[in-house]
Amino acid sequence: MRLFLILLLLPNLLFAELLLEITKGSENPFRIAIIPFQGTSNSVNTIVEVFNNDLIRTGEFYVLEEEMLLSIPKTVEEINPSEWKLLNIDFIVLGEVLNEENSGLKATYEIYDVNKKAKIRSSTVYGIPGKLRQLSHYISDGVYESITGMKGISATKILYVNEIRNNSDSNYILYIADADGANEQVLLKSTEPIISPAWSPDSKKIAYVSFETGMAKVFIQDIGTGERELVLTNDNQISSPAWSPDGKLLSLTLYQDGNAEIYILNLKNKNLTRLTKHYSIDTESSWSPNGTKILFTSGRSGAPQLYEIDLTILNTKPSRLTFEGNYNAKGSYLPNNEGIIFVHRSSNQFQIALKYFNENFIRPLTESKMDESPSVSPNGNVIVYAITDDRSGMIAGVTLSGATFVLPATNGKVREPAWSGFLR
Amino acid sequence: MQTRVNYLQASFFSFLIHAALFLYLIGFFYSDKQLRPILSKPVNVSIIVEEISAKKTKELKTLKPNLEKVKPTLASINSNNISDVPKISSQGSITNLQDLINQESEFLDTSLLENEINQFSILIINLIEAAWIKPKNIQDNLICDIKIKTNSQGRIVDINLINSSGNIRFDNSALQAVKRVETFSFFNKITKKTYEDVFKNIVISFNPSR
Repeated sequence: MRLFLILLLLPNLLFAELLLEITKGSENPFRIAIIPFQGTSNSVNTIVEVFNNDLIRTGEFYVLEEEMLLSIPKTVEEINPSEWKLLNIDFIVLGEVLNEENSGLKATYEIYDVNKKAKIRSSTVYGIPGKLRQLSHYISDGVYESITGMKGISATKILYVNEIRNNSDSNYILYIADADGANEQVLLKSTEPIISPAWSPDSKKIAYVSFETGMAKVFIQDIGTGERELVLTNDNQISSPAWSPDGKLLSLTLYQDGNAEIYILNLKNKNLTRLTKHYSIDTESSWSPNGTKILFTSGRSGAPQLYEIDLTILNTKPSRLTFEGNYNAKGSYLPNNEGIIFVHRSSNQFQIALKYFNENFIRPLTESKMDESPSVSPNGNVIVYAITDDRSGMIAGVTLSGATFVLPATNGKVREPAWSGFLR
Repeated sequence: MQTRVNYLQASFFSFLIHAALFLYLIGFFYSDKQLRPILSKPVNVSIIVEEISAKKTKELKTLKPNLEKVKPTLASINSNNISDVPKISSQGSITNLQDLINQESEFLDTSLLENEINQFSILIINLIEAAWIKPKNIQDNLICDIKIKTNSQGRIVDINLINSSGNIRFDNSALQAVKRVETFSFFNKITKKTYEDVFKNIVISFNPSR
């Protein structure tokens, strides 16, 4: 009987928890101060500059100008918290870069939380002089992660295509560059167009469409070795490759019977499975983060709109996701499957827009005239896209926190950016 | 002619109704007398609580003569007590009154406890709100719940997201806010029992739409 009573009382005790509700928060960015790094290496300034720019580009930080620093503490112990409180600084970053034996570099950095009056991180990264920027990106990702709690994306890569015209002939170059646009390297050069670059989930391979054979064909290229492979050798035009999250499948658009339809290719046994069947165009497929759904652009309603098809149920009809305006295309999922990013046309402007699945309206993120090919960063916070007009093209970015940036200008018409996954 | 009288009657009633509505709206029926009992009610209650708790320290026997005084004031505490009051008889009155006194002192204790809980809850909320940076471009009406476990020094020893909002940036910002707080320095002012009962496990709900 007593046991019975205890059992009855138990749920009451379990749920007798204090519930506090937080309704207010700040929308301001974190305010941080970067103390000029110490050290014997003469590349200290470059490292700090790159890392500083990385943080500003995220839109989630306000970095105090160097002239505004009231003091330059050499160690965490020398920090006087009240002095920094006056400047409203939340975090202080201190560091040191040293030349190692065998020509390596060793960077140590510490993050001090002014409110908590304590050090919250202390890390060391190693690098080689030729890869200063990479070392800096590692530092900024470390700082970003320990302050915001999300993985940083400074050390990731971006693919893009550059079209350079000389008199009558054009050259198409597929580049790989750091997430800040620097350190670009050529992956492929061709006199025929290259379009739709896409990363494999492990970011070791890429797939793209090349017209080098006179037809649109999809190739897979190993980034490390440069080895290339034609994925399908039939007579059809093939475009828009997209990798499944497990890396085993590739979704493609095939013009098999003169009409664009989406197929799934098994990369191991080269089996093709047809996914869509409609007399209108179905193209630009992309996979949901868990690999159970495919998003694509279809003209079946008379105008381009985004549809989603469930792969877990056999022969399902695609469901329409966008209803705003008469043009929504080139969609991709946010990494946590909360919504989709796509190109939306509102009165002759093509802008990048976001739609959360639990909302029935879209959120435009950009304001220029011709924005296209959005690609989402692996942490879901930043979107890069191409701004194009007749003569030039460049790559710009927008963060969900509202900051915008443009990657360093290069000659020619830059377009079709594609963001890699996390690289380490 | 008959119809006209009907119209006249109808329009007369209509006039009365509309006039009444109009007068009501401009506050003709409103008087401060109506307000007075409502305003004075809480004042009465607090006096009673004081009176009884003061008497609690005295001998029970001395209470008997005062019964008549207590009786009418008790009636106004709340409806629960009203039903108790008529039951007071010469024999049962003391035990009955003792029960009432116990109830009252318990009530006093709980209100003191509630005060303590409220006071420290507000401190906790303020600290977390100061540390929370709300992400932009997120959906409206997002809510996430985080369960924290603290040790008696106020250090947060365990953080669990028990109810996700569905938006990773929102959940993450909430988790980060709790992590940034790390320690509630005022926990040494909380009595051990209150800490064990209330502040050891806390659920924090982030709900910016409120």
